[in-house]
Amino acid sequence: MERAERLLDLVALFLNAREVVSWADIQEAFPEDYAQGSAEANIRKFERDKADLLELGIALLYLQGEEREKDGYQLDRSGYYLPELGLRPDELAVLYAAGASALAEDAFPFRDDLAHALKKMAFAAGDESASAGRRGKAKGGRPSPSDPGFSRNWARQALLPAAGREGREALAGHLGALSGAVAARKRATLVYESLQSGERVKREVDPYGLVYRYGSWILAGYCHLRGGQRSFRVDRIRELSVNESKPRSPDYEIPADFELSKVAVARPWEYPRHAPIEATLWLSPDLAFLADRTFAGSRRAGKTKKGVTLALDVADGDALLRAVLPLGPGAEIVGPPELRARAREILEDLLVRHSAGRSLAAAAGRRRGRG
Amino acid sequence: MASPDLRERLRRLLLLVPYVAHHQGVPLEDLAAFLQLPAEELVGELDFLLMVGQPPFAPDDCVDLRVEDGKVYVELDQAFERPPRLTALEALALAAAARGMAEGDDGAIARALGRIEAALPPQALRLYRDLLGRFAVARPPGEAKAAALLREAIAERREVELDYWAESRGEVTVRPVRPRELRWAQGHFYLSAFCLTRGDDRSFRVDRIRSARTTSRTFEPLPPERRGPRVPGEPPPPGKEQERPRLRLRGGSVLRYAEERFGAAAVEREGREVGSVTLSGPADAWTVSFMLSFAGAAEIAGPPELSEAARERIEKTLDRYR
Repeated sequence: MERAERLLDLVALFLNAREVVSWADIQEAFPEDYAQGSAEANIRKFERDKADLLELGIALLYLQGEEREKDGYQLDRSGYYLPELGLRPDELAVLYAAGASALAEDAFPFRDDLAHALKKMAFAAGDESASAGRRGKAKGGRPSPSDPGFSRNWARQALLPAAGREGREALAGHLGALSGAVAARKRATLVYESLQSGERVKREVDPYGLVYRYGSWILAGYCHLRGGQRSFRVDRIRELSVNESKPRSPDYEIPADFELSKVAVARPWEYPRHAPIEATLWLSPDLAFLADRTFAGSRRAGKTKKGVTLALDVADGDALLRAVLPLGPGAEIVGPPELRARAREILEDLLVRHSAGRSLAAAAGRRRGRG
Repeated sequence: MASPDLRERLRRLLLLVPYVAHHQGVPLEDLAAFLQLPAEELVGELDFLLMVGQPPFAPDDCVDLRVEDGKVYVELDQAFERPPRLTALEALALAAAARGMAEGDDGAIARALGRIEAALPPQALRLYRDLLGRFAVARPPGEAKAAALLREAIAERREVELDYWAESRGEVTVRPVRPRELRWAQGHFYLSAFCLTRGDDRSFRVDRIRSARTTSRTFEPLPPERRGPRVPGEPPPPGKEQERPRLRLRGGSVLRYAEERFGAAAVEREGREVGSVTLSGPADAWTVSFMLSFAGAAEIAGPPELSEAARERIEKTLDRYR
């Protein structure tokens, strides 16, 4: 019998069983599968099937009865079925929006699990709105996750072809494998290409966690080559293999002092590259709103007549320059003096570089239409 | 361990039967879309399910499904009444997405995740909690509020007025738009909308929206987008052939970054440390900002008028430091 069919049959058998099912009953029900080999091989095969079902969240329990008539296996029906979740519309909407955003990304860990979770949400939501007797229909004909059109829509979004950028498939594959490695704590061997040197180096890494930051996935873990904790951008991993032996027993422990939040900083200039300094930033009135956006988390150092002045903790000054210079004359690094001098130096150098052949360009510039 | 394909298939089938039982007569294509399965494959799976059931596998012991006029019905569900509970990994994926990408109020996220946790069996709950600390999504700061308002406006098809900081002008302008879709790319939300000022489709970076107001004006469903999604930067003015903007880059890591982001074909190397990249967008203010985001490692190589625009902006910015 095909494996998928056998596993589903087992679930049907247990869901319909009124009492525990003994090993003999199981063998009798599936003679070709569990009664043809040696006693040991048969039970091994059943144990494997049981483990597969467990991965799907289906736990078969072995009950040894003293007062019971026979020993056997049981599936707790109430433990099997997805219960009503009692999610309110705003809670459901938040989960859906987040799920759809995540699935629309090039890659997301546990992508398949996420898609399934959302489907189960849709199922439970449809169920609950039906059992609530259709009272309080969603206002203004807003799409609700329980209506088929809605699931069609997000399904389409989730299925958006991963077109364009090269290496997207490899990224999704690597991310999937690393998610599994993080969950099961299995050692990974990776060939990593450094952006700094461009060199490819093979290393063994114990994956501690995964972080999504500024549009990229970062693997944090213990690097055996360097003998310390390191982080790696998943899209720069050129080759990857995960230890496949003994999938259910972990290869390493994660130190108690490991903190993923240190890797998951929200702003590029907070990533520790040098000793932290306090920088002061001025924003024009038009850009003052960025105090709560790009520069959220900074402190108001004063609101002058024009614009705002902010104080920021900076651990990577270059990263702050990369964020501030594109804002043009509407933003200015006020201090510390070294960082301000660095900004000025960059701008002076750029001015020289953009001044060559200026008269020609100026003439062309006058003919320029839209900016 | 079950192969990923087998696991996927079983999960899908364990959901399929209950879903049809609760949506008798669901159109085949809706069911296929819900399960994210091509229709032909779905038909094959429906046939397969007819063999599934409980011993001794008499006709009444098996799942009974039928398709009539393109609609799917289930007669016997064999106790596949509801899908299985969420697994630890399913709950984890949901939590990672919600914590990192949900826009809207944190209270709703916390309450939603609380209910998910409450529905996990004890063993799964332990694994879920253990793993939760090992996956993190750094949220883009300050985009949540605007994104929540926009998502609501998209659902209700209401026009929105944006106070938008446009790089092209270096100032905030009022832009009435018909919002189409929110996209998440490169760590930011982008709004794709029909801009009533420009009379064309535009992309807006959500963190550059100073404020947004929903209006009472509603609109009919928008026609398909005129061009494919283009994020970031704005689309070129129609019907005018322009010289593509080029950046000159210095430093091996910057060159490698450009190759990663734009593809090796877009980068022309003049050596290990120097080269140039041709961008696909128009030569506009965005390109100048993009050049400046390299903080000195990039300069405009052409066209000349873009170089001049960059020079003007650099000079004005430099004035603040003199």
